Amino acid sequence: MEYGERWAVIQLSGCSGCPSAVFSSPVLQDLVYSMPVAYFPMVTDSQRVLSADIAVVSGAVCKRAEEELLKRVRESCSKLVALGTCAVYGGVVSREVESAKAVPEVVEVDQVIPGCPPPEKLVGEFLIAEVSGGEFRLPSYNVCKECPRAPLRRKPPIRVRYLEPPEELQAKACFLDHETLCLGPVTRGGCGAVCIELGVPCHGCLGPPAKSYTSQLANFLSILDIQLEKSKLMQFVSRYIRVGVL
Amino acid sequence: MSVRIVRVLTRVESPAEVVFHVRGEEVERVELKPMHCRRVEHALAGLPAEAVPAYVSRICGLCPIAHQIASSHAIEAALGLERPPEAALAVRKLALLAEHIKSHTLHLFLHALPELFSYAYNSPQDVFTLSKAEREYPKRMGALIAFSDRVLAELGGRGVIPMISAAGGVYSRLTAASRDKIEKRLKQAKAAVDWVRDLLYSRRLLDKAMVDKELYDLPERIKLVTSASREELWGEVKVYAAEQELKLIPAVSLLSEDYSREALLTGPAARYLARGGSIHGVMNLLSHIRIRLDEVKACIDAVEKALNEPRLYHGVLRERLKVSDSQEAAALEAPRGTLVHYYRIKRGAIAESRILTPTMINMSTMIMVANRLVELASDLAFPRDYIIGKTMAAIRLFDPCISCLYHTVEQL
Repeated sequence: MEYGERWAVIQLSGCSGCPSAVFSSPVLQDLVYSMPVAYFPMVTDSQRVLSADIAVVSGAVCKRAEEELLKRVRESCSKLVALGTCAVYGGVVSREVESAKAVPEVVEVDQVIPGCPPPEKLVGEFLIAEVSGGEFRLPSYNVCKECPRAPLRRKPPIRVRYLEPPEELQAKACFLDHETLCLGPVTRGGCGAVCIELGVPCHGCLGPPAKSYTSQLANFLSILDIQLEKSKLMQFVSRYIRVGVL
Repeated sequence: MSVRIVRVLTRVESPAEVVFHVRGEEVERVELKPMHCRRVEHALAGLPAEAVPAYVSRICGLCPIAHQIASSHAIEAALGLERPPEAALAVRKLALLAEHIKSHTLHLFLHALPELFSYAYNSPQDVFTLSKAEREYPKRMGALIAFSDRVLAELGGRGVIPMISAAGGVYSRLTAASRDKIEKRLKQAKAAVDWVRDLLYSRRLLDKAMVDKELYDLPERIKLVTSASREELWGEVKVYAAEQELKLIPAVSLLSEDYSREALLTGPAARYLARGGSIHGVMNLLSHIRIRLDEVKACIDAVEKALNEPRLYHGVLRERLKVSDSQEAAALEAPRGTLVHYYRIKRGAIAESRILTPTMINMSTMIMVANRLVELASDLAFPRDYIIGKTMAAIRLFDPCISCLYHTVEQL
């Protein structure tokens, strides 16, 4: 069966992890192969973006040619989706190239799917909604809702001394209860808290559940008694999102 | 007067521009131009050393594990950890095997096999056209990806950019339940390899492409690059440890030497030669398809064997590293070839770094192959568009990991 909507998949500066993710799940593959593709240079010989119903853009905008391409895509496609944290917030690329822009800084977007990489579950739900005419909504809850660890017990101000969990950390305790910074409270859920499951505090790759990351982050940090060098703190909280930009 | 024809290099892992300098119908020379921009080494400066493996896995979404492990080894060596825990070494080895399977699968199904099918069908092909014309095509590709992704997800939470290797060890070990999930997918993965083998030989896809064989020849004088000559740096992660030195260039010396004018070769074909394979078996890019498929098969067998290793299931996962000022490099075999990570660490943070990726090593030879191809094809009076198409085919058959090439765009 072939669905009616024509797709374009555009890569800007990034690691190619987001577009390759569509080939990483049998469910996604079934959907992808059933869609008419107007432009997907990673896997087809398409040279130019012709008109498409949906354009999925990954990566950040680093070069003028990328900005021009993005504007052409916006003009020729009915719906534009920013896929992955580089596209949505600038991501790691914005740490490397000072002038890098997120896609919404250049053109209007209809949908964002953040994550580094974007969670397979969210990408799958989005694709299913598109082909079935349903509605897709990003989770509005934070990572704590999915966290396998015990809820935070401490009351503010919560002392934070570590960016890496200390050795004595109890397997199921909240990182913040053990003075370890975790951005789960100010990060959108939907990832299944995969990193936390592996013992790694959340670095915030899905971005904020609400629009203003900077004010959310400022509120969060204000309830912490942070005993870390400021530069290390800033590096941690801006690994994926430029604080103050969005 | 010479004119420039610019084409997007498609069916590679990040697009680039190929510039053809054309006079009349004759293509005179070829250049590769970047379309994207990254400055990974710039961003690493000042980052805590322990944050590096997770960061560098974002260099390439197709070979993140190789970057994670190479950086982990370099940082561990710099900070005085002589040997990571045994469980960590076993987990890293298993993850790297899975990444080789996945990367080669994507290369075969997205880039190389469509090239062969275009000869069989006498029209351009891609994964979408083939998924309709060859009903088994997406199913077999899916079986191999599902197998490798299952290994990666069981070890690192997800199939794409999993969290596996950290400075000092790994995050997780395998469980008996995980092993069962992986083993369930073994049979279909092996069957998919047999199916591709059948395509190449019984359906004679390789033979049909031989009409253009001479266009895909490598330069006569090739120097091999593998990490085997610095085996001590990659510890147990020796998927394809060379048994003999065969004109090998010490991988780490590539960091300081001017290698750009040499015809270097790294990747599956270099490993094949280093294992004692015949030079005649690698001098044509079409034969690299067979070598990649053989590596997929070898890696699946190695995963099956590794699942019985007790070290995967028990023991310490990670050692704490001491903060000190030091520097070290590590090299390993990524799917596309030798990968080198170098770090100078000062007070626990990165003061300087240098990352040499397989595609950077292969780059000069890729350009040589492309220019040799246009010269030969122009001499044979092939149509211009045909020459352009085959030039792009040669690049993608050689090494399509342009994402790894982009990590420091100034080095192009």
